[in-house]
Amino acid sequence: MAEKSMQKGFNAKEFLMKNMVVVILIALILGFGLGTGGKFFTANNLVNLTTQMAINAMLSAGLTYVIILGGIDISVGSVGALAGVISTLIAARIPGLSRLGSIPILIIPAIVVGLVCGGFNGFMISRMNVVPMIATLAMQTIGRGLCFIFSGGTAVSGIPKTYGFVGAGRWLATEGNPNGWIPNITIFVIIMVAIVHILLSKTVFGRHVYATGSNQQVAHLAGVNTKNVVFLGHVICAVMAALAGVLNASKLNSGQPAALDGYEMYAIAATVLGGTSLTGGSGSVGRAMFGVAVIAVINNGMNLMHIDSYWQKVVIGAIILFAVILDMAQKKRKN
Amino acid sequence: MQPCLQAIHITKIFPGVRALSDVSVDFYPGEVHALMGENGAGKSTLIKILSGVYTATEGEIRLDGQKIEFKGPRDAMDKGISVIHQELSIAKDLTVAQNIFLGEEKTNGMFLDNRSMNARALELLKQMKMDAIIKPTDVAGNLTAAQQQMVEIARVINKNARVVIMDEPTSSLSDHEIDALFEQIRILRDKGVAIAYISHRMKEIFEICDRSTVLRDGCFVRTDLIKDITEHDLVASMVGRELDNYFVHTTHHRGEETLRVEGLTHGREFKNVSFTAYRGEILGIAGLVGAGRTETMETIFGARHADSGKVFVNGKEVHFNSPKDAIAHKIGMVTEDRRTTGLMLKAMIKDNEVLPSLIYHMKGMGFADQKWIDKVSKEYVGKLSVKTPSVETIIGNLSGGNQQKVVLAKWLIAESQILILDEPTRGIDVNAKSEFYTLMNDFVDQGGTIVMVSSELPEVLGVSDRIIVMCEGKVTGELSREEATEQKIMYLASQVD
Repeated sequence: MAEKSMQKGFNAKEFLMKNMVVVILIALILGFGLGTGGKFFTANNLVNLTTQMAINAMLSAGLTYVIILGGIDISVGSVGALAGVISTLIAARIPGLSRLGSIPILIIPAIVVGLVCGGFNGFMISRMNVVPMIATLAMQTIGRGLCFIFSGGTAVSGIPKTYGFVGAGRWLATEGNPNGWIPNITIFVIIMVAIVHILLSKTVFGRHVYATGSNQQVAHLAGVNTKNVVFLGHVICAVMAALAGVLNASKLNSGQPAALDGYEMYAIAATVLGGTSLTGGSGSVGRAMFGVAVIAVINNGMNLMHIDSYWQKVVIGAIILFAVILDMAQKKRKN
Repeated sequence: MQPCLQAIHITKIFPGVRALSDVSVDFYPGEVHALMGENGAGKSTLIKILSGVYTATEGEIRLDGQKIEFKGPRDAMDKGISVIHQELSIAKDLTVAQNIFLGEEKTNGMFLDNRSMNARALELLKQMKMDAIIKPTDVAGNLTAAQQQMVEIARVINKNARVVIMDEPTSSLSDHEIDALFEQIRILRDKGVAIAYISHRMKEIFEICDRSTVLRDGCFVRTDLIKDITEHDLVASMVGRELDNYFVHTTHHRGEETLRVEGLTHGREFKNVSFTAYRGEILGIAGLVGAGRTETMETIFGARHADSGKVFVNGKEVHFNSPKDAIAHKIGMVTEDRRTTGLMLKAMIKDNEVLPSLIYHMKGMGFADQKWIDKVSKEYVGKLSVKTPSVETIIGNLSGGNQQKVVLAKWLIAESQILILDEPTRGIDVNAKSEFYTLMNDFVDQGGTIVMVSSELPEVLGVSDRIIVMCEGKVTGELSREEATEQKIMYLASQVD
């Protein structure tokens, strides 16, 4: 009994370890708030922050599935860029594109690109037994190559302004702020992230993702079609990545073949910071969003403080290592 | 009585191998049926056919007298046949309830119905009288191996399985835990479930089983009621020859002290462990699983570090920072888990054999001496009669017994004088065990020292010259070969203070 009550009791150290990402986030916000002399806390900057988080939030939410499955997907940046290029190529051929008409021009190519690329990754990994790192490395290279082939090596031109409605448009215009307060992209991302979060945490499919990532053999023997689970996990990841890509294109109103280059690192960092274990079996989309916030705050804060952007890469790399070491330390304590 | 599951004239042919020929077995409801045979006798092939993993080349499966064909493991499970595998089938990141319902989750429309799954899991655990120890929301990975197995049993009960196949369910359990498992088996049996029970441990067969079937080389040998057969007959029909003395014990000649441990302590794992081992003797270390024996041995071997205490080799105090130092002092260790810490499964036999000795047989510039490797690896495969086509065979393809011989060869090639053996015959069949004991005797006769950790009492009693018993990290007693009995060892092994 004595042991039981000890387990139940509040353990400050454990609580801190588990919620490290929240602690870091608060510390960073306070730090940058002071470091920038309050510039960080202006309403404008905070709203900006949500749009800066948007792309990485989409990537990380999808990537969470793959990492819980015990895999990795380093093709998300390329897949997003490919969807962006294709979507802008289509938009450039529709001169009288309306604002609402831009929505299917974003979503349909994204879903098609996501299904094809995620299907490729999922097929190679679940049916051909290719190691996830290699399968998605191939996809990364192929996807990037296709971006340059389709766009002819330069940014897609002649895109109607209305194409930017979802990515750059805002709601709730006021006198002081005629552009509007709430970015459409933020709303879109919140809805998508909520959907994949619920799919993972509340449905049978989601439960099977955890089971497969925890022990594929066990899940298989319990009658779970683990190959399909792995396949679908990669498809979801790629569809989210492709949606991130078209949102990015819409936000910038441009189809860049080199878009989102290196964003897989940001997404991996955010996911792992959010407590998703690189060894698979545990994690959550919701918590990954805290990781996304940490990365966005670091980038945003460093920009405001005029720190050279190349340093951001160094910092993000260090953060990934830090998060993985933290994860391993927790695993070790458990054993 | 009508058998609920029947295998009738089953033959299974793999390319080049006839794994089963014309085997028939009937399983009756409310009966525990032991499936016995050496490794390679065809038990695993048979249970894989019964549980839908393989389909038979010839013959049929009948469920309640009706011929059926399984489309896969899932199909067999849906028809009431569940397997509890040797390696635990638990997803360690999921909770107890999530594991119990894995593959057949309850839903409320689109979403998981966690509340009713947790409630049902609690009900199952109550039925099993386990609800005080295991909670539905516990993360399975935080439970002990025995508790995880209970979760598997709860899963089987929840499925309303009619036939439960248990493949060596006790291999990682201590004696207390085995008792708890047997209680659950009896509950299942009394409910009318048919249980197929696979184990190498004779004592368990006679304790829990009602009927036994022996297979040998893929053929049916005999089926008997347990009350009508003796242990001697069972062993004899498994190996196909009369085994006069299952444990080959020769009288050894004890020489001078070789290994002495004084007051070795590490946290809560083991405390103040002292013992001495001598040239020309087999020192048995008995105790229950979790008594700290493996941890103690790994510390002596330099794989872990002690908080305090001393180790002496041939009378001189030594400080091992890593196993490399222990090997340099001619100590070898056959680890508990051959597949993960004993062998490089994907490598060739010869590379496994010479691994610890390579650095002592280098040519200039650090090149490996291939001629020596070929010569010595062949020599020891011959000496220990490892059954293999060549020393270049991938070791993962050998049987457990032959793999274990290679582990031993590895240390003999390294010229070890002191061998620490941790559960050296776990999971290997009767014949191979007997051969392994002979090799151990030969080693000791040539002046070697063996320290053997074993949880199998008959083995400890049959092989050791002297026995030390540990319990909860402490040495609780020492017995000579003459005075040792199962009762005395069990008494010392459960001296919890």
